[in-house]
Amino acid sequence: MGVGLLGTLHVAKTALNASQTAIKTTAHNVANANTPGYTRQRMNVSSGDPVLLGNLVVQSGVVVDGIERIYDSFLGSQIEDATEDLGRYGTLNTALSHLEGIFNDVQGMGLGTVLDDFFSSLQDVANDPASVSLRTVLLSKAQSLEDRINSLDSRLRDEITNIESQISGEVTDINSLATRIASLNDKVQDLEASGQTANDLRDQRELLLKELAAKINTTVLEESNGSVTVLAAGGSPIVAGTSTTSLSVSADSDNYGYYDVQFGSVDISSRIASGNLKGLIEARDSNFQDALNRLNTLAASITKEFNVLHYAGYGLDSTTTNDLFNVLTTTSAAKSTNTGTATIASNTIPVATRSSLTMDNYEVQIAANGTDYTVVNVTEGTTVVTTTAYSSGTPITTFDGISVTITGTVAASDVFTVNTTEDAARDFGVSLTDVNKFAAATSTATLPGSNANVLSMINLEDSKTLSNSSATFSTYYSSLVSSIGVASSAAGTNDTAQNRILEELNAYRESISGVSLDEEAANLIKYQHAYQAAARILSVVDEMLETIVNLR
Amino acid sequence: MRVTNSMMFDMLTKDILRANEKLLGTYEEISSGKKINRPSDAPAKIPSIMVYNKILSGIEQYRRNIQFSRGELNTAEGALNGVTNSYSRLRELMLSSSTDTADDDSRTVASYEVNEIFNQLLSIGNTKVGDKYIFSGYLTTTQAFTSAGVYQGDTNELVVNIGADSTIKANVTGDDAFTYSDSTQLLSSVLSDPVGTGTFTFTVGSNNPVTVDITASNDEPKEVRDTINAPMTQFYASTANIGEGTLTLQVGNATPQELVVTSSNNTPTLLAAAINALNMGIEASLATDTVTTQERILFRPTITPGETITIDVSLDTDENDLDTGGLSGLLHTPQKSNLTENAIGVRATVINDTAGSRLLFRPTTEGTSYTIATNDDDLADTDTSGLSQLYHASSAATNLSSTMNVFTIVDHLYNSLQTNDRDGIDVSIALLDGASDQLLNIVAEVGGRQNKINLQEEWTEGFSVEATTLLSEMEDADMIEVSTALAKQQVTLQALQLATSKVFELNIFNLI
Repeated sequence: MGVGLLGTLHVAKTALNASQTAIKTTAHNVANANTPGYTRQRMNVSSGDPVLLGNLVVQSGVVVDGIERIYDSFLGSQIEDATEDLGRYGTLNTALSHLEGIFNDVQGMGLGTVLDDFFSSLQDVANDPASVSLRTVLLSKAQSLEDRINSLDSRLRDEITNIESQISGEVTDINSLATRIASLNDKVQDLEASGQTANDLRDQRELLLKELAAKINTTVLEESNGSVTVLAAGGSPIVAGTSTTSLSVSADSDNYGYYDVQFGSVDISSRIASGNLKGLIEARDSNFQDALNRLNTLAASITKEFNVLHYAGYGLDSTTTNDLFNVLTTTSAAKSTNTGTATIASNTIPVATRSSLTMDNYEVQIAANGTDYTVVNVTEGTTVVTTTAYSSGTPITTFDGISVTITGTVAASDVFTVNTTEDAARDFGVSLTDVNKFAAATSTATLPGSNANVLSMINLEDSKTLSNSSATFSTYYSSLVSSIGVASSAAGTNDTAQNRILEELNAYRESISGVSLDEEAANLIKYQHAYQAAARILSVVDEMLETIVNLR
Repeated sequence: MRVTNSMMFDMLTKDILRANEKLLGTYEEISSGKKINRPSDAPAKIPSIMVYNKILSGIEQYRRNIQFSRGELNTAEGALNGVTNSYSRLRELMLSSSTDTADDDSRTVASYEVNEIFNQLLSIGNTKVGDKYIFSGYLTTTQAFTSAGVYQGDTNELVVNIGADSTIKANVTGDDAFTYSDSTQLLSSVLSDPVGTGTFTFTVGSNNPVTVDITASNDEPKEVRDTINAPMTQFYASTANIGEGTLTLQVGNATPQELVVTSSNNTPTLLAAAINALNMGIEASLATDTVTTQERILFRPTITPGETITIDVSLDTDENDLDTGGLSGLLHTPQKSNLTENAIGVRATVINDTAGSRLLFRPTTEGTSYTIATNDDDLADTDTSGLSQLYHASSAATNLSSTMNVFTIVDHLYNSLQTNDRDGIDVSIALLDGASDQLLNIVAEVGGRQNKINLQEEWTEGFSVEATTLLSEMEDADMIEVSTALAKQQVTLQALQLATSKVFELNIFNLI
C-alpha cells in the first residue's frame, strides 16, 4: 500500500464502500420494515488496521466487519413459550365458545326449556287424563325432547369430529414446518460454513419456529454449526439438523376411537403441554367428551325413570308394559391393552332390574390369577361383584341391573368396560306412538280418569335421581351448562391474558429488533453525507494527482 | 425505549380492535337486553338463572292448573248448590206431609214433586262437562248414577299440582256428595219377603245382649220392624213369679180384654202364651237377655201394625199398685210407665225404594253404638237368604251398610208419601238431615279448596313477580348504564381513530 495520495485514494475507496454498504443495509431495513419476523440489521465497521512502513504508521481507512442482527435470544425463547401458551388457550377458547353455543340456555332455547315444556304437558295430561288432544300434545313435547337431545348429541359429535380433523391438520402442519425448518437448517449451515452470517435465513427460521411453537410445545437447541434441533412435546426430536421425524395420528380404541398423537409408534398425547394441539386435545377430552358423557347420563336417566313408571302403568286402551322411550342398551368393550382373547357381549337389560340401573361406569376386572373376576363400579369406586370364578360363555353375575357375557380365554388383569349410558343421547327417542297407550293410570279399574301414574312422573321433575341422589334432571343439566360456562370463561381469560403477554413481548422484541423508519431516515442522511464526503476526498485527491501529473 | 413504526401501528390497531370488541359487547347487551348472553359471561349465575327460568315456566303451568282446578271446582260447587236447593224443597215437603193436617191426597200430590226432585238430583249427579261425568271419580266416562240412583263411579280424587309442594283435589266424587255414612245407622240390602226365621241379638251400648225371635208369624219386613220396635216390659227372671191379678189389654180403640194372672200362668213364658191365646191383636213374645238369661216380654200389635197397645193392671193381688212387686212389676196402674217403647235401644225402619224393602236400624239414643247378630233358622249362615241377608253369623260378615244413598232416601220418601206412611216420612226427615249435613261439609270443603286455590294463586303471582325481578336483576342489562357505556366507548373509538390517522401522517420521509 502506497503512502501519499494513492494511499488516501484507497482510504476514500474504503469509505465509499462502507457508506454504500451502510446505505444498502438501511435500504434493506426499510424494505423489510413490515416483514413479519424481520430483525433489523446493522453494519458493523471498524477503522482499518494501520500499516507500519518503516517507522511510519499509515492509516488504511474503514473496514466493514459484517452485518449483524439486533436480536435478544432470551426474548426469542420467551416469545416462543408465550406463543405455545397462546396456541393452547386460543384454540381452547375458540372450541369452548362453540361448545357454549351448543349449550346456550341463557337465551331460553336450550334443553332446559324443552324439559320444562315436557313436564308442563305432563301436568296438562294429569288434569285431564282422558283427553286425547292433551295426550297428543304431550307426545309431541316428548318428541321435541327427543329432537333436542339428539341434536345436542349430534352437534357435540360434529364438533368432536371437527376437532379431530383439526388435530390431524395440525399434525400435518407440524410435519411440514419441521421439513421447512430442516431445509433452512441446511442453508444456514452451508452459508455460515463460509464464514458469513445467515441473517435473513435465521429470521425465516425463527418465524417458522414460532409458527411451530403455536402448535405444540417445543424446545429449540442451537447447534454449533448454526442448525437447530427441535424437541416437540418434551423430548421428541422432530427436527435434528437436516433430518426430520414425522408425527402421526392414530385412533385410540380405549378413548372412544379418538386420535392419539404419535411420535414413531409412541403415544405422546399426554406429553403435549401447550400449543394448538394441547388446546384441541384438552377441549375434546375434558370438555366436549365430558359434556357428551353428562348429556348421555341425563338422557339415560330420563329414559330409565320414565320407562320404569310408564311400563307399570295403564293406557287409555287398558294396555300396560309399554315403554315411553327407547329402552336403554348396555355398551361393553374389551380394553385394547388386554392380553387375553376373550370378547364381551351385552345382554338385554331385564325389565325387572331396570330400576336398579345407576348410570355409572363399570369394569369387569380379571384377577391376577387369571381365573377369577370382580366387577367394579369405577364411578363410585366400589366393588359390586366380589371375586367370582370366571367361566367362558356364562353370564357375569348380574350387577345393578346389568347383564354381560364374556366368552373366550381371559388373561390376568384383563379389563372389560361396561356402561348403559354411552350412546344414550344418540339413541334417545320416543318409542310410544299411540297416544292412547300413554300410561296415565296405575290400574285398569281407574280408567279413564286416573292420573296417579302421571303424577308420579311429574314428581320426577323434583326427584334427585342423578349424581348419587343429589341432582334432579334440571339441576344436573344446569350444572353441566354452568361448568361449560366456567371452562369457557377461564379459557377466555387465559386467552386474553396470553394475548396481552405476547403483545408485550412482541412490542419489546420490536423495540429491540424492529425497524424504525425515523432512525433509518436519519441513518440514510448520515450515510449519504459520509458518501458525499468520501466522494469529495476522491475528487480532491484526483485534482491533486492531476496537478502532479501536469507538473512540467 | 426505542419505538418503531410497526410497534405504533400494532398498538393502535390492537387498541382499535379492542375498542370495537367492547363496543360489540355493549351492542349485544343493548340488543338482547341482557348482560348475560352466554354461560361464560357469568358461570356462577347460570344455575340460578336456569332455576329461575324453570320456576317461571313452572309458575306458568301452575297458573294453568289453578285455572283448571278452579273451573272444575266451580262446576262442582254449582251442581252441589242445586242439590242443596233440592234438599231444602224436600224438607219443606216432608215437614208439611208429616203434620196431622196432611192427608192421603196431599201426600200423593207431594209425592209427584218428590219424584221430580229425584230426577233433578239424578241429573245433577250425572252432570257432564265435555266428555266427563264430573261426579264419577276416575271413571269419567261412566255415568255416575244409574236411573235407580246406584253409584257407579269410584272414590278416587283427581289430584292437581297447583304449586311446587301444593296439590288440590279438583273433583268431588258422587260417593262423597250423594251418600253419607253414620256408623250407628245400618241399612240392609234389599230383603226378600218373608225375610226368614231365626233370632236377632242386639247389644246396645253396655246393655246386656237381648235376643228377639222371628218366627213365621212375624217374618215379613214390616213385622220384623214392628217386633224390634215393640214396647217391652222390664226384665224378669225366666223362672220368676210375676205375681197375680188381672191385666186389661187394649189395641188402639178396640174393645179391651181382661186376662186373669194366677199362679198357673205367672211366669213370663206362660203369661206370653196366655196373652197370645187371647188372639186379640196383641202378640206377646219373649226377649231373652242372653247374659242374665232373664226374659222380657215384647208386646206387638198384629192386626193393625203400629197401633198403640194399652195394658192396665186392674187388680194386683198384693193390692199395692205403687210397688214393683206382683203384677206391678209389669205395670203400675197409675203410672202405666213400665212399658217402654223401643226398649231394645235400636229402632228399625223399613225403607222402600224402587228396588224393594230394606231394614234400617238406628239407635234410639243418637250416637249410641250397638251390634246386631242373627241366628238364622235355615242354619246356612254363609248364604245370603233368610236372616243371613242381614248378617252371617258364622262368617261374621255383615250385610249391613252404614252408608246411605240420597237417592234411596228420596225414593223411600216418595214411596212413603204414596203409601201414606207417616212413620216412613218421619224417618226420611232424619235421614235427609244427615245427608244434608254431609253435603254442607262437602260444600264447605269445596269452598275451602277454592280458598286454597285463591291463596295459592296470590302466592304464585307474588312469587312470579319476585322471581321475575330476581331473574331480571341477575341477567338483564341496566339500560342507562349500558347506553352510557356505549356513548363512552364510541367517544373512545372516535378519539382512537383520529389519533391513529394523525400518527400515521407522521413520516419523516415527507420532510427529507
